[in-house]
Amino acid sequence: VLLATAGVLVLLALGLAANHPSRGLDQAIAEGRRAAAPNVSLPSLTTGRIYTLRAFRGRVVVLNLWASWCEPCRAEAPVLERWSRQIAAHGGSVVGVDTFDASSDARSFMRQLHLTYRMLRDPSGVVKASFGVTGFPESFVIDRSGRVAAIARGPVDDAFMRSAVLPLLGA
Amino acid sequence: MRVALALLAVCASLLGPVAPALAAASCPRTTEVAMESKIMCQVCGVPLALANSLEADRERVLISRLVARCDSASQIEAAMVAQYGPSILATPPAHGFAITAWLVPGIAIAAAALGIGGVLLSVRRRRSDAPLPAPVTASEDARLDAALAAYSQWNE
Repeated sequence: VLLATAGVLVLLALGLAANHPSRGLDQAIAEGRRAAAPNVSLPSLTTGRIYTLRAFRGRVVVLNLWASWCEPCRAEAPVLERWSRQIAAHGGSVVGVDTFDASSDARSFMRQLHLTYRMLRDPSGVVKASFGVTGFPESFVIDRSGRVAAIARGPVDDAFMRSAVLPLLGA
Repeated sequence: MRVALALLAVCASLLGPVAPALAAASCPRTTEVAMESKIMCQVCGVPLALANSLEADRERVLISRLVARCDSASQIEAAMVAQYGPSILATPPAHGFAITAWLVPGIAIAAAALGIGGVLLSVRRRRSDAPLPAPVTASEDARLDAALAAYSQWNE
């Protein structure tokens, strides 16, 4: 009986730990460090081709988590589209990750807002778990060596992009 | 042979108008309400029936579309898994770490049953092992008689 109770308690603790969002990346940035971005592999929203985050090594990546049902994501997307065009030639990429979303809704969101940057699909929230995401939208600026340099827990704006992305591009 | 063919023709003519009606009666094959307890709101982490969020509303729209298309509950579950992954199902999968969700309640009930059984057995054993009370001596018997007599006298 004691063993069974201990087992149940261990399982409860494991469950709680698994569901608690990780704040390791925020802590590293607060301490002035850059932690390695978790390497995730996700299919493209449009073609289904699998991309890994490691494949973007050498470029500055703005990894943006969004969903078509998220109103702030709708307001933020044009800013990301504009910056995606501006930074492409300087070695920067905006990568959208559509999360917890029906693919048809996501594609219609892309069409409505004329979004052209690369869109990946994360229907079950792999990136959400590994990056400690608690809401939508959230963006992670990843430097050329694959380390997280800045985080926006909420919609990005021009000021954030100027201060977090431009210095990494050397532009 | 002719009689058999005639009978077949009669049966076909009788069932002909009924078949589409039967098919129509079986559609929809499930309801939005029934599906809401089987599907999770991924953002909220609760079944859709309890969820109140924009994401839950989008899931509801998709489910309504599938119900209207006359999909069965299992077809809708499969379609939702294809869209959102296995975590969309309210019932945990029976493999990987999630299997503990199925095993733990069974193990806990078995452990509780074993524990209660063990306690009952030990209580019964203790009772049967307890020494029998010593027989009443003659002096005790006399004292009891005297006390009872005094009691009945006092009551009168």
